[in-house]
Amino acid sequence: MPGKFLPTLSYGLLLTTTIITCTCLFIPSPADSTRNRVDKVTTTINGRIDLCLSCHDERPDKAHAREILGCAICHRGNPLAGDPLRAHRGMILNPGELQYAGETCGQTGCHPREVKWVKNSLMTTNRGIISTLRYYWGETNDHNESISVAKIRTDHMESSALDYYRKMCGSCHLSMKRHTLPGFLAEKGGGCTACHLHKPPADQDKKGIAHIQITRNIPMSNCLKCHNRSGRIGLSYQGRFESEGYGTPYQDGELSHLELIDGRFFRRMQPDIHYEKGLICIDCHTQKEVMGNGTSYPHLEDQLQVRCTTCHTNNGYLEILARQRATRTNRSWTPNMAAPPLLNIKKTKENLFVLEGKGNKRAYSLRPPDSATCKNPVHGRLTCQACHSRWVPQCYGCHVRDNRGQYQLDKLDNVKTLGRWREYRSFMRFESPALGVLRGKDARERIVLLVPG
Amino acid sequence: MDPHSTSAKGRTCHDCHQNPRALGLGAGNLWNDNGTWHFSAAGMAPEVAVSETLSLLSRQARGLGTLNNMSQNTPKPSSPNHPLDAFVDIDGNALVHTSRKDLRPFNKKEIDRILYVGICLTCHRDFKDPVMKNWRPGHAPRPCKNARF
Repeated sequence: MPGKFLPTLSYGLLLTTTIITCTCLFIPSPADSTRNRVDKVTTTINGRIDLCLSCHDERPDKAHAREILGCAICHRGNPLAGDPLRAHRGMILNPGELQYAGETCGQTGCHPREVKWVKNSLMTTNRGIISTLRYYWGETNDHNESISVAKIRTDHMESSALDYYRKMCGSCHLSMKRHTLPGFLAEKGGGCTACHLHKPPADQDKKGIAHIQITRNIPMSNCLKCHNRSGRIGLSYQGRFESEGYGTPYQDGELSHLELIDGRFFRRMQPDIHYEKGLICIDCHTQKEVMGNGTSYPHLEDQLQVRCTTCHTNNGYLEILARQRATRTNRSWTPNMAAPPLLNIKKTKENLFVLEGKGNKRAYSLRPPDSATCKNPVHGRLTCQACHSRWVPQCYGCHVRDNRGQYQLDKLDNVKTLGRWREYRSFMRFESPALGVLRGKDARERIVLLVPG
Repeated sequence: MDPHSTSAKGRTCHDCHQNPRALGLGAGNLWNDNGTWHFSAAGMAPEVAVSETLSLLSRQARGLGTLNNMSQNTPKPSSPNHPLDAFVDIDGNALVHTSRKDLRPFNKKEIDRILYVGICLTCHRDFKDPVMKNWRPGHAPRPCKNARF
């Protein structure tokens, strides 16, 4: 059965007989005798032959255990071949890449629904980034237009904003193939594995070939590979303020050691209190917020489920959230917040509500808003961020220049093209963010932060 | 946006109601003269700043004058003609575009209302004070004699 893999585990036993028959066809000929063939037939626990297991020792995570799934169900290739050349033909190194995910991670019996969501998500399509950029640059009046990364490429769309996007933003989307771009950019992208990948610690990987671990407890470092520019959210959360590029204050006679992987310098600031307490991105950002639910939302704010007041609220709502978590029944989520999000909120024996950290399993008490200040009617229009965001990176005089005589890497197509974008700013500030007014879709006006840059 | 720099302790009353930066006016001096607010920006418009500095250096090198007597005759650029950290002027005229259609800086009425609270904050410092505690939206108390207008 070259080129085919088993659609579900349940078929394994049924097809074993057939597979064994087929395997017999690969009896080595005299010419094959010099090949490095396997010396035993290896199977998964349900009897499905997967000869990859006879050579490969790598151990994925428990949910994708080699004894249960084998190798070929994810990596394809030919599990019946028995020699490296034929066995590796058609193999997929990273099954999580979105171009394969429909047949690997998204195959029947695995995660078909999630793959469908992700393919239409904002992180894959970059709809929000592209439409905002084009709107901001005066190329469209429709701030909610639906232009995706794929559409830019297939339709060969061209404009100044899109050229800027290709060269300055184009590495941060999930359909970017991992390890194709140079330097630190190589770690970006990879479809499902862009987020769900967890590399084993170096001391457990002496040969450097240990299988990656697929995890639902997505480490913050995976999010930060992309979420560190524009709003600098990932940096601010850790208390890092991107400073001017002078590398000051100097340390040990050299430039500051506080340098990001891409060469930007930063200063230490007060981290977000949630970070200080040990919470990571996925403790607040739910699956549907990140992966979407299949609907083409134009911007992230349209698919947000969790607000500050989701956790910092009265016990009545926390009771609902705790029950929701206990039963895991939130399958019919709609973006109008009708159904509460699936957060790790639990009720303790002392009848207190806590948020359990997904990564560290610690219980965090949830404080309600201050009744005197936050609940006062005169502050009825204020968002929580307007007061509780004590510092915000602000880029004033932000502008870009296109040096047409030079070349720059187009991250979408991985080829250098004419025109090199440089970003400039007059000055950076972090203190006292300005406030403004945002009219929501419910026609209510709220006081929010105005952040340039 | 949520900048993800949350702190348990929020901004102080003064940080919004007496701070031109929070109002979107930018850094500068804010004062009230007989009930009318005035604002003097600390920064200059960037093109003015650059052109004036270059002209000043040139004129000083030729012994022709200083910044003070030159500024009045220097032609103002068409855009941008406001400090870079200003989103709005004291009259509520928006100076910048935003990335969202429904996002705007404060208007004149809102600026006046926020600053009016700031006058009272000098004496009535927070919500522990009955004046602030009993303040209701749209029903601001009349200015007292200490407000001086």
